[in-house]
Amino acid sequence: MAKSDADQWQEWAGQAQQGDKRAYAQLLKAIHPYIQNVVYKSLSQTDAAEDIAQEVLISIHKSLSTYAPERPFKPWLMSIINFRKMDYLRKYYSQRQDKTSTTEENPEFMAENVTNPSHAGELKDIEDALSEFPKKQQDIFRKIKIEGYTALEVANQMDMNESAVKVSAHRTMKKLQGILK
Amino acid sequence: MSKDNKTPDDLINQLCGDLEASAPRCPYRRISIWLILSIVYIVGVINYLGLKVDIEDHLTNASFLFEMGLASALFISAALASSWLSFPDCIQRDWMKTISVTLFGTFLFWIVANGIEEGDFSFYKHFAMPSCSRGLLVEAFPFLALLFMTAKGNTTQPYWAMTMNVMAVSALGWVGLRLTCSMYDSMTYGFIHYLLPFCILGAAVGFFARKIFKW
Repeated sequence: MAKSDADQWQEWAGQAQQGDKRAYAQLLKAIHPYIQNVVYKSLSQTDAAEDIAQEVLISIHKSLSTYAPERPFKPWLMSIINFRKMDYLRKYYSQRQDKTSTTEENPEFMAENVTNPSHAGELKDIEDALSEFPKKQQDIFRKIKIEGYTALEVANQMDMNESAVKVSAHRTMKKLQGILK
Repeated sequence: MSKDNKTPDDLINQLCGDLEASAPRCPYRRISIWLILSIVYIVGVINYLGLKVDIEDHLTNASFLFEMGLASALFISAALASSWLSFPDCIQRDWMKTISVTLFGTFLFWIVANGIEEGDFSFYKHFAMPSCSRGLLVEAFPFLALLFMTAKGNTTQPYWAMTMNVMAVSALGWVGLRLTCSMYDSMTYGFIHYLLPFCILGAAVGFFARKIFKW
């Protein structure tokens, strides 16, 4: 009767403990896909899954002497897989990597916060129109409407009255709307 | 040993190249040595410090003998559990932890029940009493030895391993201090001055269990 995988692994592990490198290579090659399978099933990131699979192989190497050949091999292997997987997940969550994502994964964020390249022409029109205004008026408008300063801050920076700054920014806005219609 | 920039095949080849014959580790061998050395050590410490003055009365007291038996059982069971926890597949012997935790619970219950019976269960009063400072002498060396031994293992349950270490050494310390300290013969005093400081210290070290038992 053919041996099951688990029986075969158990035998190879026993031989590996006696220094049989060939049996050890067979064991590691046979269990690597199994480890990958187990890890892939519970993780979405394939890169991380391969990393964990390799960590598991190293851990098996370090703890080979803790395996007793008369005991089943799979529970021993599964303990190491779960330990390494949990280790990875603990680091993953402690570094809050679950809270980060790329802009490609998050189109709503893109739409709200990132300038759409197709609107670049409109921005250039505004800049062109704004360049027609006196330098001081341009500065006030840029600081308040683009850079986000308050009227009081701009007034202090430019040594002006706060109301005068507000009026200047409002007038520039109205004129720009008229030019760009 | 590192997996950096290695394909699985490269890593397997490297691991096979590094393979050395190693006999399967016996969970009982090293812990038996620790148990024997700890008992020898505690006997030496008791000999050095001297037995408490009324020890003869205590040794005829069934309650005291039960307490010593319970602490010794906790010492042995927690040490054995700690030894098993040095193996990755320790989860298969979870019952060893259960035994130790049950014994520890019984031990605490025994302390509280006796403290109440003594009618002297005032935490603040006993806390203010001078401490029997021999605790460190009794417990420090066996704890460091057990910690070192467990750290050499491959545990997948570091916090449980630390808990078992603390339980084993606390029980050993309790036996040693109950036999030598003549300062105040009360369970509440014993709890506050023999057991609690070491449990707090153990819990503090326990926060680093994952780093200490990293492998």
